[in-house]
Amino acid sequence: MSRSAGEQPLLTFETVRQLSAFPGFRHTVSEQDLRDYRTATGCEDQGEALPAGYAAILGRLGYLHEHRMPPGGVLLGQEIAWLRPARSREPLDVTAVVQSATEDAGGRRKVVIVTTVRQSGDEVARVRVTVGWPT
Amino acid sequence: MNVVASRQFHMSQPTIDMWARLSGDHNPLHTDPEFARGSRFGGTIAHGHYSLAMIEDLLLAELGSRWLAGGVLRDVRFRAPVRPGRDYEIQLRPHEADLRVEIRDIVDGTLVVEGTAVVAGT
Repeated sequence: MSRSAGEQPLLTFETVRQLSAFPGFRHTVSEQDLRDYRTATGCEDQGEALPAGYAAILGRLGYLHEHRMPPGGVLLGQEIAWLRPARSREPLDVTAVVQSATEDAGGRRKVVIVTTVRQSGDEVARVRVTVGWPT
Repeated sequence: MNVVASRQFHMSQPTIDMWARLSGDHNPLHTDPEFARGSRFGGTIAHGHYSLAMIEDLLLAELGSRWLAGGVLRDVRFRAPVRPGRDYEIQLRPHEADLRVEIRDIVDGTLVVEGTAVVAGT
């Protein structure tokens, strides 16, 4: 379960400036998470199978796990490939690697590749996220 | 141009709050109306990844195994905020060998999200 808003530390650009990869973590989607997802999106009930759209959440979790963006921090773009089904209650390993970083007068951005893998090693989702920090 | 598939949805603050809990993204820009009123958006906005999830689910529902076989949603751009209290429509339209994806405000037609769905084998 994630921390509440007030408990989450800020993920400032200074924090991540030198990072080439974010700390990986294991994530399990609970049945309650899945029910909430269906309620929020109205997507079809597919039993324990995770909806493809869950990749968007995994992409966000990959770099922002247990943190919050500072005011002005924004998600600028995202590319999603949902490669293989996964299920609720199944442990998934999430890793995030920095593909590129820019810091200039135009802004401060990182492009991050977030990969979610089953315990079998099968890749579930690959998400390319472009994140912007306030200057 | 023909619409291949579409889906409408209503955005609400309870939905945004639920998405915040689900994703762990408690940015007050999404969840704190008072804070958000003082922002450049003038009020709370939905998470960008909510719109992406909606698009992904529509693509899978429409394309099925073709989408699972290496389909990629790419070049997504957030053109305007998705706001609570408003209705939106996702549309998929043919664009060369791919599908153009758009989300628009149903009432005023504002383009809020756009992108390209590249289907495997096309």
